[in-house]
Amino acid sequence: MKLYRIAFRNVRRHRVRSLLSGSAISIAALSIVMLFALLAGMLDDMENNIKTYASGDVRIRTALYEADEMIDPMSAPVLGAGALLDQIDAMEEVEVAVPRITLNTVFQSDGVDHVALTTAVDFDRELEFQQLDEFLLGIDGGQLPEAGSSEMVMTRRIAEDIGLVEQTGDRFDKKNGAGYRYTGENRKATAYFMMNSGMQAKTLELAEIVHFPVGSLNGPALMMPIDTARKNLRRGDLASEILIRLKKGSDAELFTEKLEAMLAEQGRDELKVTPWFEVNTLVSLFAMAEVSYGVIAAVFFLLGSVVIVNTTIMVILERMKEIGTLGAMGLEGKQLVQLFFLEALYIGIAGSFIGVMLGIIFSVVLGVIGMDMGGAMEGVDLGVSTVIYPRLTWFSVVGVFFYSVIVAATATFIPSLRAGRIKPVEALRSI
Amino acid sequence: MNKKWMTALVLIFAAAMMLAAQSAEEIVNRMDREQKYETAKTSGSMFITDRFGTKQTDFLSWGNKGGDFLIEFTSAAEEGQKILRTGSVVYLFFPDAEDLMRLQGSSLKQGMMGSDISYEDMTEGNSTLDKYDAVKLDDIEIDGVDCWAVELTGKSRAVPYYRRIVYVEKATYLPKKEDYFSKSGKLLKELRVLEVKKVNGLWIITEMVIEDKLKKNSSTRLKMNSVQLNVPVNKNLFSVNNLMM
Repeated sequence: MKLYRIAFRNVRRHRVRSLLSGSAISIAALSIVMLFALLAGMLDDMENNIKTYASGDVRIRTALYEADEMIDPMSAPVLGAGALLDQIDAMEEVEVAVPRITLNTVFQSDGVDHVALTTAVDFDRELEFQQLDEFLLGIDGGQLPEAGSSEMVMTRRIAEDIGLVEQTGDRFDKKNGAGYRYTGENRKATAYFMMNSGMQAKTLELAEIVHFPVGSLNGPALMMPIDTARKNLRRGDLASEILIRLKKGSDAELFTEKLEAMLAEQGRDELKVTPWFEVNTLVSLFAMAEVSYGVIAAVFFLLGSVVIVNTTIMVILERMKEIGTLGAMGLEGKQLVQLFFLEALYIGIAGSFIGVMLGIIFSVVLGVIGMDMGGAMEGVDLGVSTVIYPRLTWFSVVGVFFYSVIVAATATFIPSLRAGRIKPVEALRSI
Repeated sequence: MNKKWMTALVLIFAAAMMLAAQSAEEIVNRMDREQKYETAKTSGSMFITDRFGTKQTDFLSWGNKGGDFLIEFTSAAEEGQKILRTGSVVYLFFPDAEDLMRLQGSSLKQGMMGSDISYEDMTEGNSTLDKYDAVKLDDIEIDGVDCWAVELTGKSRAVPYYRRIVYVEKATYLPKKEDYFSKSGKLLKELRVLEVKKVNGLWIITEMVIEDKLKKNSSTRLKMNSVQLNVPVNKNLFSVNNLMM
């Protein structure tokens, strides 16, 4: 009888053993598929967060500010931002562009200074850029501030610090504002904007609390209408930066070159255009994340491989009596190696296939509903959202399948070679 | 020579010697007295220079001998902003704000309007010897002007600058130059008087420049365009209520 038939019969005959071995391979394959999908989802999320909150696909700042983010952005703002936006809007690659003004801010409450970061934005454009209305907590059915109004949205942290909201004792629910309420009728606070060139101040009314999906953005921060900020600053039509989101399929690098050429023609040498992947601090963060996630994946790969190898070896070593019997029946060492190899191959293919399929199903489902990492990410700032959507990749499916099969099959070589050298008498005696 | 003439000569000589040999305390007290007026009303400009360029800020100010003052900014970017000092407290008023900002503690160390003059500098009174011990150093000539040099050391930690060296012009008893040091001896700021004028018979500083030695290319030039001394000033001007009006 041919070896492949013997191997297949052995696998079927020893169902429990095959099931156990196959299950170990399935679990390892499933874990690795899901891990890769999760890591891919985290990298996607980080990229999305960078583009949404920090840089867009392409960012415009002054060269001075771009070179040194520690300076006060109002010391080197983008002038004539309105006219520049009109030009950018007219470019076919652009989906939406948003101007932002960043201001270091202080609130005084009960004699204590509370520091916060103000971002003055065009709320209509931001709605398109980042679906800002989805982040409203909904404590009192509030809305985003209207253009020109003296309203603001704040994170709950600063709103609580200055006494505008308080916790109710109910569990915090970011969907409908549960857990928080306004402290009273007065929802006004005066924001003092601290700039190198001096200070300005504006009394603003709290319109709603905002809760971002990225933990690090929920520090003390507020947003107000950009036209209100410009009027208060009395410095004309300026912005700290302009973020540009491109239409799908547009190349950020090519667009950057096009925009740079346009600005150079207009003599706007003071401006710097940066595609998202060249934004210094973010690139290093992203690169660090890729390396870290790669290391995590490699460790998991190794663990998975150890499980497969260990299971396969154990299966062989516990079959010494059978090896003795086969040897007594005339099976040579080389044939023994082939036999075990084929058995492991069959189990490996089945186990890997099931594991990978389960991994695909779970990843697809979680890719739709999302994995809420909120509790696990508490206090950890990795620049990723609390809800991650795993994404399958070709490598995480096909690569893991073949890798698991190969590891399972090749893991049989050493123990089966050893077993093949043992005399049948000794093998039978070992039981 | 007649004995009386001899005595007169000796007395004149002694007086001259006494003048020349004034103590550090006497110099400082006289310096403070020369800068104390019943009231003062000025208009002026600040030219604030940093690595991003120079910004001009114009203002009107009123002060009294008690040390209270009110500054109202008139240049476009800061129009309507006011600074009130009453007692040892500084209040900031902004036209778009419904509240006053009260500066205290470390917030007094901020530069006024982004200048090299801190709000804390503005809370310094005219009674220097209440806060500092004075020691006379060797006389010195600065920009061709004869000056006394007096070293001031803080009596407590409540002073903005632990050590100061003030160079007092002998002719006017006004500071010609002043250096400000930290406790470790690091030079923090340097003030130079560029112009003095006589108003109502009194010498006053009409132009000076302050450099922050901890920053590169950072200086503030203060120029008084007009100065009126001892004019009627409504004392209610220096009240918090008036600030909100």
